[in-house]
Amino acid sequence: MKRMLTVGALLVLLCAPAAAWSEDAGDWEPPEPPERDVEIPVLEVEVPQHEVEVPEGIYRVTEVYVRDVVTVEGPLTTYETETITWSPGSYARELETVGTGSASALDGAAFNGRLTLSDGRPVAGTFYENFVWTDAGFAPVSVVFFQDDAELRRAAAAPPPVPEPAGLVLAPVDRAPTVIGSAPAGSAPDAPDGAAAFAPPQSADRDGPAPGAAGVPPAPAAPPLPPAPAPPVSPVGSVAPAVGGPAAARVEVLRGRRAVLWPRAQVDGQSAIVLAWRLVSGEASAATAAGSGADPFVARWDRLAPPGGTYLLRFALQVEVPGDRRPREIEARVEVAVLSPALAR
Amino acid sequence: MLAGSIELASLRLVAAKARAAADLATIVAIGDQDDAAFQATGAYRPSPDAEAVARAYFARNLDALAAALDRSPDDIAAGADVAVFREAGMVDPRSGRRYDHPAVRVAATVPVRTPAFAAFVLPRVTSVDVLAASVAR
Repeated sequence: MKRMLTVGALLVLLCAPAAAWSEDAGDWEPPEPPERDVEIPVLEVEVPQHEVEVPEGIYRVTEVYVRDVVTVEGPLTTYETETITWSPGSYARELETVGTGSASALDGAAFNGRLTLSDGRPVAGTFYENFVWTDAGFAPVSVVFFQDDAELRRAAAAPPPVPEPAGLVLAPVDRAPTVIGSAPAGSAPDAPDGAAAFAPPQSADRDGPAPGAAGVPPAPAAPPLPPAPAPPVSPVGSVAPAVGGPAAARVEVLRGRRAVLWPRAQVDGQSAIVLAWRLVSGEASAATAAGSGADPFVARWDRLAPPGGTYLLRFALQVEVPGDRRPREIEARVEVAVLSPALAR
Repeated sequence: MLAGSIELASLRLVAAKARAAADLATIVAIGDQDDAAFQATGAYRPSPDAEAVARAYFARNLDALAAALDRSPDDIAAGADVAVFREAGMVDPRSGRRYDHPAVRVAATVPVRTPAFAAFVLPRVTSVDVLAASVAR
């Protein structure tokens, strides 16, 4: 008993106050943003203290450009733009959404450039213009292009279909900047606070100094907008558990039970013809790896996924898109939850 | 006294087997999938005949105990309260339990012969309540 009392007293004496945070505490500081393995852009924007009347079409930035990324996974190459969720206090508006191969008057205006497919055509994506708020109103500071495209290696050039490991290779694009803004000090002396952070970096492939640089008058206004482009034709791939049935982003199957799924595609809300499909990655105990548009994907799962997890299947679809001379290659994904009976009590 | 003790032990054994019979019946019933629901939504739903399957397998599993039961296994299974909860999150009105997944539940009263209890002025038949539920998860 005496020994227990001694140990208890020692425990009480050794206890330190918990490092808890209370909302009432005056010395609290907001937590640092999570660390990333990419260089996070530094956006020094002076946030206006008063309420800014934001014109229609302009919105506060909540996703900030980090870098362009090309992902090569088997025959599928994806062109994307990596972003982080952050509100630096700046504003933006969408200028134009362009499709694969479509020329734009804004080509060359984006500081990060517009990537090209393996055949030289520019990728699809969206141009955005960045603004900062100044005493004189909204000042345009840069144009950025968000890459959003994918291509599948030509069937003729590709080897015959063989099961491939579900490897994923991430390849940052060399010529794409990894940091938005962070122009050298003094490069934009006349620009308002924050504008320098957004100023397009000067690069050798640009003609002349960047707008806003020393000795060059700042860009007078936003570049003239071309007429509204026609909506891009963007096929969307999906998987349906039934012919003609609705698509499902997740399916639930019992362990060991055969499941039939139908790769499908839509273009502008209308069903498109799937010429062929192929399982790019995903785990199943037995599954068909490829087929024509008339063939379903048939699979069975004999093993449960890790607790709380699912299997992710990725398909590459060859889709016939109206207006395109060649079939378009797109991706479809579906999560598979493998269930097993269990007692509930 | 010895006969009473043996009867009591036998009753506990039969009760445990009856509960196992109900457990296995619900597992069999929940282990089949509604194809139409899968094709419509991709989600798991118990088979439309899950209730009948649970009842049938409960009767089959009770067959091994038939000699100790006061009614036939078919009668007991027919009188069982079998419920199928097709959606996640449904509440069992009998037990108050909320199921996070689709579930099949069997609740039944199994009459077990206990002749030795009569010597102690106890009922010759003892009712054993069983409750079993299974989910697919």
